[in-house]
Amino acid sequence: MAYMVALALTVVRLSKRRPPMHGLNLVIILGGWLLQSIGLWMLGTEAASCPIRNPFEVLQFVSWSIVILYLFTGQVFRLSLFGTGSASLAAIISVAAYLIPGAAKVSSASLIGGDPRINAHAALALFSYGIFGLLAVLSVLYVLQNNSLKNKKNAGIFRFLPSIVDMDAVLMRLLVTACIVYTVSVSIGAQYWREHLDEVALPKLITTFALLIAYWLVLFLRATNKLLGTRLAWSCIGLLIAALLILWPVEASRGYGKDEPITSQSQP
Amino acid sequence: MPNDFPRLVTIGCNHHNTPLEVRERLALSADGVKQLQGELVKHGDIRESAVLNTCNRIEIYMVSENGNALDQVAEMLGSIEGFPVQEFLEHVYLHEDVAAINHAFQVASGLDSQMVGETQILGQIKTSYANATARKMVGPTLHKFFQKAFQAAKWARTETKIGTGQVSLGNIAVELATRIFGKLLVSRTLVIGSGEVGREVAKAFRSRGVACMSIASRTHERAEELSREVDGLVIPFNTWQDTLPYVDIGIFATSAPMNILDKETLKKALEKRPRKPLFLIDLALPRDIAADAAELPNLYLYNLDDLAGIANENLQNRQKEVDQCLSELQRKAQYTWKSMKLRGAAIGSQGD
Repeated sequence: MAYMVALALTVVRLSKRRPPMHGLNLVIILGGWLLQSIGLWMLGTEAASCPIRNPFEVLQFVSWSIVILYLFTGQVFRLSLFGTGSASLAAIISVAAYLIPGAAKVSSASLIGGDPRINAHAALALFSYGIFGLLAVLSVLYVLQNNSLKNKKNAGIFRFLPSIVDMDAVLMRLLVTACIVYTVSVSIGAQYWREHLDEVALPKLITTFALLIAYWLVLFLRATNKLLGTRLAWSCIGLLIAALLILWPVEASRGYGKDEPITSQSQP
Repeated sequence: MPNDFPRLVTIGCNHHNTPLEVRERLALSADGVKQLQGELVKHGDIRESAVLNTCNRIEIYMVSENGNALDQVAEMLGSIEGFPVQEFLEHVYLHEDVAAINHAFQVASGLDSQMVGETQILGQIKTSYANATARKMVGPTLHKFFQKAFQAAKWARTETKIGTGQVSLGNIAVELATRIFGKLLVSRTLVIGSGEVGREVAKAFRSRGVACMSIASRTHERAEELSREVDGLVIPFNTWQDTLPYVDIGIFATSAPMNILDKETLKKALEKRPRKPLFLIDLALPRDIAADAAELPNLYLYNLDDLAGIANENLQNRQKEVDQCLSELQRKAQYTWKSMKLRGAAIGSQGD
């Protein structure tokens, strides 16, 4: 709700041709994030691990990651409307978590188990989803700014978007960070998978590595000046969509090789 | 056309009804203006005349004693090599007598300008008037016509708020550059040409602290003058294309009769700086930069029409003031027209 309030506040300000209130927005987003943290902490206590036992918790964790990353990086990069964009994406993902039927089901197969490598892998992977999310938010802002400049639009939201050069620099930094964090996550997971190949579903392996390769490929193309500007931005948006879509095969692979009796509902 | 002569006539084309690509074909060179003035002086049916030639309008003010003024003007323009008379006639407007005075008041006040409320047009009309006077083209009627137009412009500027909230081309260009580059402290700027509009924009960028400014102009003295004003560096005119890959902002304001920068050249320059965007401001008419260059990625190309469109985005806030000003100017035009007739300026004395 707090994330949606931040978005609504910005929309109202822009509709009155006034600049967004960055300070108030930050306080609202921070308040929402604290409430979300308390909810995830309660779920984590119940699970006795990172609260990512089902799609609902996974999406809430991704949403939470997006906002915490914004709260840290946003103050460094100081990009106008980045907070509103991040809060909007977090709100969309949180709402989606509530709308997916049966998303909050917790089964024994949902439990990650006691291996700390899998906990670390999963938490880091979803944290990297937060970076993917920020990349996509920034990419949307980039596309909007580029299109408005190309189409000679200067009124409304466009005047308050960050500059093309600033966004390009931050996109590169976030892309590098996303690749590193996701690679570390996959590397930790690979240690476990090597020893428990029978517990790992092939679709999950394929999609996970495909996503990893895709992000590194985009980074390589950007570094070699072959993927720049709006093409880079659209690639980042496309990759986030792909990343969210592959959560399905990943979720479906839970309990691969195990029995899965339903135990409870985790939705608070 | 009515048969009562002589008549005060204004014939012209402007940005309201003539697209940019047509206006650049209609734009008269300095030689073209001189030739037209010569034709007007020679014409037996035209007692007085003056020519206003700006990037947004070409207007001929005259006191016609006989015949069809539009046909006469078309014939004279047709004598100028390469002038597209047919296109001119497709977009032309004609105002007579009190309507001509009212139109001149609106033009001089900046209310008919592309950037409503701007003041540059008044200086351009004064220059046209001075040129016509120097060539002895102006008689008592046009003297009064211009003096009253200047008074109307002064009234509009000082007694109304039509200029309040109006932003300059320079400020708009700087704001756009900020949307592309963020802070401009490391941006390198190239200024091609040294015309008045280009100078204004260059000064706006300098005031925002761009890293360095190179200036190239066919007229070396004018380039030197501008370089002193903006603390810039004059480069030889034949080398400016070589610097394109190293600049971030280009201000083009030459009086070249055709494009001096094409898409292919820009594409090559952009390939040498793939990560950096290029912001080009084409203030020239005819345009200095090929319009299709705007399709190139990482290139942001703005011409006069684009900047004026942005400048007028806040026009609705001033619309009431503008409407009141227009109404008062119309009243003043009526009064001027009556006073001209009463004083025997020999205009339309048989009419009305």
